[in-house]
This record gives sequence, C-alpha cells and structure tokens, in this order.
Amino acid sequence: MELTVEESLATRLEMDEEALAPFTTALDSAQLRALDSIVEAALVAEDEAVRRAVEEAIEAVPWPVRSAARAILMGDS
Amino acid sequence: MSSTPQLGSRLEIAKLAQALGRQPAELSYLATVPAHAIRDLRQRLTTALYARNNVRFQRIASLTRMVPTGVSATIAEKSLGPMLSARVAAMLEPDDAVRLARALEPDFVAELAASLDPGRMAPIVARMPDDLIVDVGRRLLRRKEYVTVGRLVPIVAMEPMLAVIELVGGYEILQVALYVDNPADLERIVDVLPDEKLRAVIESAALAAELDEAVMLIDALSPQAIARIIGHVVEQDPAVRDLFVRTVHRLGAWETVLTGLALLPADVLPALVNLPVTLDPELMTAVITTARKLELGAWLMLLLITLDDEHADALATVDVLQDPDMVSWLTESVGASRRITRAILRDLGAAAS
Repeated sequence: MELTVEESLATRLEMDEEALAPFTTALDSAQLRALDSIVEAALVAEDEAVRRAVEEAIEAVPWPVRSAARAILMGDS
Repeated sequence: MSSTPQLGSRLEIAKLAQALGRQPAELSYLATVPAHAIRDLRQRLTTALYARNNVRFQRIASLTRMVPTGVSATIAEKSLGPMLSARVAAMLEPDDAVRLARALEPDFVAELAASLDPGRMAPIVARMPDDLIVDVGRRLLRRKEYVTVGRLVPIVAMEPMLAVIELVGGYEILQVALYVDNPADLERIVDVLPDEKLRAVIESAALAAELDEAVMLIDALSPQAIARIIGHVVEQDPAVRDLFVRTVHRLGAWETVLTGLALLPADVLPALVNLPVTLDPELMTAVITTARKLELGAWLMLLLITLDDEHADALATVDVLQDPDMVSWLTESVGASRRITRAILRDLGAAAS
C-alpha cells in the first residue's frame, strides 16, 4: 500500500505523524510532497556519498594497511 | 510581536536549507510554518542523517587510528569531503579530532564546519586550541557563512569568541546573532560585546534596513541586556532613533522594549519620546497601555513629563488618557503628591480623575 505524504516524511525522519501537524496545517499537499522529495534526496545523496567515500578511503590508505583498512571499513574485522 | 513569526521562520528555513544542501529559496513555501516546527524538523533530519550511516562513520573513525594523522587528513580531504568529514569528526576521540584538525587545510576545516552538529561536537571543540577556532571563525565570516557561525556559537568558549568578534564589524555580528538558536547564547554574545561593537551593530542594523531583525533579537533577551542595547540606541542620531521606535511599534514589541527601557535613568527618555514618530496617537496609546499592563505607572509619568510642547499637544488627542480609570491608575501609581500628578495630567489634556 502506498504511503501518504505525511507517512512518508514521518518515516524518513523517524518521527510521529502528529509531530508534522504544523506542516500539514500550513502547507498544501503539493508543498508537502516537495518537502518530502527534498528530504528523500538529501538522505539518498548522503547514502551515496558515504558509499563512495568508503571506496575512495580504501584506495587512499597506504597499500601495506589497505587490506586491514578494507576489513574495517567493510565491517569484516 | 506581530511579524516575528515570519522572520523566525525565514531564519529557520536558512538553517534547514543548509542541512539539506539546498538554497533557502527552494524552501520558501515553508514561510508560513512556525519557526519551532522547522527547527524541530531540522534536528530530526540531523539525527536521521547521522543514524542511517552511524556504523560506517564509526568504521571510518576507527581507520584514523591505524594510519598516520597525515594520511587521515588526506583521506578526509580527498575521499570524504567536508560533509562526511564533519559526520566522522563527531565519532572521533577529542584528542584524535584535534590532531586531525591541525593536519587539515584550514579552508577545509572551515568548509566542514558547515556540516558539524554542535550537539555532538561540543566536547571536541572544547579541546580545540583557540587559535584554530579563531582562524576557522575568521574564514567562515569572510565567506559570509553566518548560519554556520551562528549554529556553532553555543559550543565556542568566551576567549576565542571575543577574538573573532574583535575581527568583525557590526553587520557580521548582527547576521551571526540572527542564527543563534538559543536565547541564552544570544545573551552571552550581547554580554561580551564591547560597547563600540554594540553601537556598530545598531548602526549597521539601521543602515542595512535590518532593524526588524534587531528588534526580533531583542525580544529574546533579558531586561538588563535590552536596557544596555536601548542605552546605545539613545546615542544614535535622531533618524536612527525614530526608525527604531517606528520598528518597535510596527512589530508590536513595546512590552519587550519597555521592560528594558524602564531600567534606564530618566534622562535617556527625551531622546526617545520627542521624535517625529511619537506624535502618532496610536503609538502613544500602545506605549501607555503597555506601561499599564507592566505596572509601570511611575515610569510612565516620568515619560509624559519629558514630552516637549509639540508632543504634549499631540498627547491631548490620545483617547486612552480620556479614560478616567487609566488616569486614576496613573495617579495612584505615582503615589506621592496626587494633586501635582493630577495637575500635570490635566495640563497634558487627560480626563479629570
């Protein structure tokens, strides 16, 4: 079942839907959807940046400790 | 105050936009949402951003312990970038964070400061050397990163804060003050501002047409701090004083301002009550009714006898002084010599009581 925009935003930010009342009162549904999209984009961009940074960090460490670094960063150690 | 909510929302939108990596204009539709709700959303967003990659940030932080500091600095600058470096910084032991900050390019540290979460960074910033904090503060202000500096004010100690204040003008101080979250931190800034800087803030607020913002800030301060600020308003030229009083009236901020004004000696009153704007009967009505609400009868009487002839004539048209109940309250408030008080009020055109 598709989430309402309020449910979507509340889920993304791990908050109660009731806490969004000031937003649902002041904004129309298109504005709420725009806000939800911007929050989603920020979270997705963060995840992507972290994933990329971890890969680059592994390459950036000196080769003698690279495999140990990889194990730490990938959670294998 | 009547227009404070929108102004407060605008400032919170700027902070939320920074957290989302957007321009404030992209979130302009939030202007009708109360400031506290936008602030709450930003705090939840910050928590969510940290929480979803918390484990990865901790792993990257632990990597810094197995490579030399120089290598960690290279990883931060080349691989992580400023935003993720800021997230990882919060996971480091304070001593490791200080060592790393020293090894990073100062401009990079200034850049990552925009993504720091003050709540998580407080123990680390407390261990940072003052010269590094001042250098970063200077760089941020040069880039007009007022939102960032305002957010970080709560975790910066007095000494480095004073050193940064020393380097900047009134306009920059006002801009930073606007983005300080907590009134207690705002009070701390006003407390440490030397008189000449406080005067410069008032002058720049008037010059930059930002008195609305300045008056909104006053609203968050203690009566003592408000009194100190108004004491410096009184020293400004008449045009600035007139603009200040006009702004206070337009924003409905009399209650805030009178609590501070009542703490000042009576000799400052002529500079504030004999202005073009105080000929407005509606403004004087607001002052008189607010003074009554605050039980400032004796002070109000001092204000009334400070009026010059032109303003005394204008006061005669103020309806509220035709209310016998108001006149009676004023007479009782003064206490001593009711006869003289009544005579003065009669002379000012008030109703007989």
